[in-house]
Amino acid sequence: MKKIAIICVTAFVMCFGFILCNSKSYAYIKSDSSSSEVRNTTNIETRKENGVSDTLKEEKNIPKIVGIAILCGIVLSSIICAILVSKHKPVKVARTANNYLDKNKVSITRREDFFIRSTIDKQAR
Amino acid sequence: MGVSDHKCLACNAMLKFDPKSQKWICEYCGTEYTLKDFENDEGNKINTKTSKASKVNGYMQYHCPDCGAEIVMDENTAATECVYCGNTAIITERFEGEFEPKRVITFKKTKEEAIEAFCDYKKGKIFMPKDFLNKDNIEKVTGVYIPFFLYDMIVDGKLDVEAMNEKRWTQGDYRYVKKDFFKVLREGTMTFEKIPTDASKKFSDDIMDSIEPFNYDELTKFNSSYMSGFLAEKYDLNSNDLISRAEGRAKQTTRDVLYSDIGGYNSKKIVSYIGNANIQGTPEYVMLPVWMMNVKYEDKIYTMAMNGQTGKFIGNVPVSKAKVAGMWLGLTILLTTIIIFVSLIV
Repeated sequence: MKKIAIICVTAFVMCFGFILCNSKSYAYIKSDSSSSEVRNTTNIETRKENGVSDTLKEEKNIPKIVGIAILCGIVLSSIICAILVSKHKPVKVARTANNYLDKNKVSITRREDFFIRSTIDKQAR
Repeated sequence: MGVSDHKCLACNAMLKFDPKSQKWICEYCGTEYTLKDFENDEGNKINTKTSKASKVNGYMQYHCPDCGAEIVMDENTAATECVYCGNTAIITERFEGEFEPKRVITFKKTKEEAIEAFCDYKKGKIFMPKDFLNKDNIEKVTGVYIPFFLYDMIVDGKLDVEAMNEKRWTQGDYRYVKKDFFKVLREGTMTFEKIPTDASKKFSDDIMDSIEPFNYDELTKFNSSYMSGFLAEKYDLNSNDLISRAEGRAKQTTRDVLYSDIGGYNSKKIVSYIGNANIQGTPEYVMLPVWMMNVKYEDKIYTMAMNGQTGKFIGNVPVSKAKVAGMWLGLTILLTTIIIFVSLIV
């Protein structure tokens, strides 16, 4: 259960990081702009206004990507290191008696599932 | 009150119980003995060296039956060894009456195997300093018979859980989320056999719990002669003091079994749980074997323990801060690089 939770948290943080890093920003850049302004961009569409065409470009914010990646890296490596350190302290008080349960004498005497209520949420897309 | 131990019939030297052969061996002439060799036709012990003991300021004082040295021990020690000549002294009166154990599991693992287990205790411990698992760090290795109470009990559990199923779909311009809520009841009876709790204040519960389980098929009728060559303690916590610990463990397991019986839902939440434990019969007083080890590293003592029957070794080990910092930094750089690389490519 613990391992599943840790894998889920790790996957969530990485996905969150990818999503944030890939959140895009857009800007219209004049067609006569210098090459430095069109670096790290992708053409989306072109519009013409007063004979001058502007191109909608997709921008990647590199500092933002690096910042988010560093944050995600710190969180993930902290989780992984905490798990590895915990393996060095295996001595624990026992909370259960699983080893002493007679599995042939487990008797479930009552199994009842009652339907209580239903809710429906509706949201516009 | 007196102390005693068996001596060799051939050379009169003291005998020690050997875990490998399960016999008593004379360390000087190598003669082996079984339990039958210690008892005459009337069932009385023969060929034992004895010495009187007296009480001084709450402690027991006696003279070693072999070398005559003065040894002091507390009121709960039932077998000890002379610090001068290393011979065992068994205080037989401390195994009598209410303090007589019903059964015992004898040592199956030797002291050498305990030291070897310590030196091999590195699996999964990447932050442990390399020089920790060094024989020279071991201060003391002692074989101890530890008093335990074993409880048989039946637990009746009642579990009340709120469960939920969720369904999502899209229709037209709308998103729908339907949640069905259920009240789930489970009741059951579970039987537990021989839940152990250590009955000595000297030994910490977490270490004793961590070396479980013992194989109870090897429990044999108690005889104080098995204590030869080992230390032993009588109980100083009686069975009534320890019932709540055993009950707590059994109730938790019952709760877990009832909870795991509930299936087919997206989520479950426990509303209430009631567990009633009924002890069956009288708790059994037994002696179980444990190798205790004190390891000194950088002025700190680490207590390690090995199950004297199964060989399960356990103990907390030190963590090197430099290794942790190095791993953390390396992982941070690696994961950051991966996230940046994938983000730029996508």
